[in-house]
Amino acid sequence: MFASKKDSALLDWLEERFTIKEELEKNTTKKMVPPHINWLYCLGGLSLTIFIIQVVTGVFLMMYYKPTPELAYGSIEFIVKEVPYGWLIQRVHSIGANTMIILVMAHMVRVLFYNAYQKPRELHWISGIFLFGLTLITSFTGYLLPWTQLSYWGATVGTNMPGSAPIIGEWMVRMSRGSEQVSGVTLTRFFALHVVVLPAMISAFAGWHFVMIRRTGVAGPF
Amino acid sequence: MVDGTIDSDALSKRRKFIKGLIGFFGIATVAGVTYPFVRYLQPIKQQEGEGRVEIAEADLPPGKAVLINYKGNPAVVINTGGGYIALTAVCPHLGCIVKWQEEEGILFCPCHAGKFDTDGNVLAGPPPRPLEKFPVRVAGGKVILGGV
Repeated sequence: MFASKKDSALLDWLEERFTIKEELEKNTTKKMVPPHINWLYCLGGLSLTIFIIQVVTGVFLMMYYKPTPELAYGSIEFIVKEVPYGWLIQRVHSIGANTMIILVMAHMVRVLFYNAYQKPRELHWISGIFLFGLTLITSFTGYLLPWTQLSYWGATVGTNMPGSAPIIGEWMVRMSRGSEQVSGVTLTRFFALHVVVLPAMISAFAGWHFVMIRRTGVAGPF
Repeated sequence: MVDGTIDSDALSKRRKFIKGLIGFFGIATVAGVTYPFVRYLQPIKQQEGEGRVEIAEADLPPGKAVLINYKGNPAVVINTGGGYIALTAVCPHLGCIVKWQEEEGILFCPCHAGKFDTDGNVLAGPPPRPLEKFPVRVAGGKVILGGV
């Protein structure tokens, strides 16, 4: 780890078959960052860190959560009050969602003010816009899951918004709810999006985002 | 790195100390984060009146049986006609759940065809020992297991 002179026999054995050491060093431990980097360049990486925390705590919440109108609130209450450290995992997941939005937005503001989105980095910005939208939708769908009054009416107001779009507005409202009003169908629909579809999409777009930034390097100096 | 003014022996000692310190705090951090997650997954003990279970007599007519959760494990309560009997429903062979067969008046394990009479004795099949029996009493129209 810390510039050890001699690798262990296990690492040598792996290296003979895997031959990844050089690539790994080039891209991680021996990668030089440009001297103009400052702390604001950490915002994207911090967003990724929070995303990983959200995935881990989310999986743990899913072990006790029950996505039905009858059981959802009770299962969250059970997690917070009965399960050891459930309060911690639930709080980290909830606060993490808000923190992630703040960090993603701060990251975007940094890129915007540094003109870092300009050629040849337009694709970074485009994939980033997708990531921003996906982050917001993931938070919104997650907000309904505890099935509280706040969640319910939050989802009602949120799913009403596309209704003002011409022609397809009404259709979009019904499709997002799966029923005329927010109901148990909406809950399971949001649950599926929140735990499977959206995290998978975020991972895919984030992968694209990271490959791009490695190809071009970070922007600057300015 | 060594500029000559610092004794290289002292430097390597210091380096070793710092490495140890980083290792210690690293392990402490990982342990501190892992601990809540491990505890989160441990089964939660239900503490409801020391495992007392009540069944209304009306719900258990003669010849019938109910499957209940007694102290965290499945148990079967049978009304034999002559009285109530409570036995563990976990087969002592490989842990399947035995089922009450009203027509034959026996408990049957579906996994390897173990058969037990209403006292829990093995009648047929591979079970190595009888089913454990639990004391049961009747009070105020209720069949009661456990508790005081």
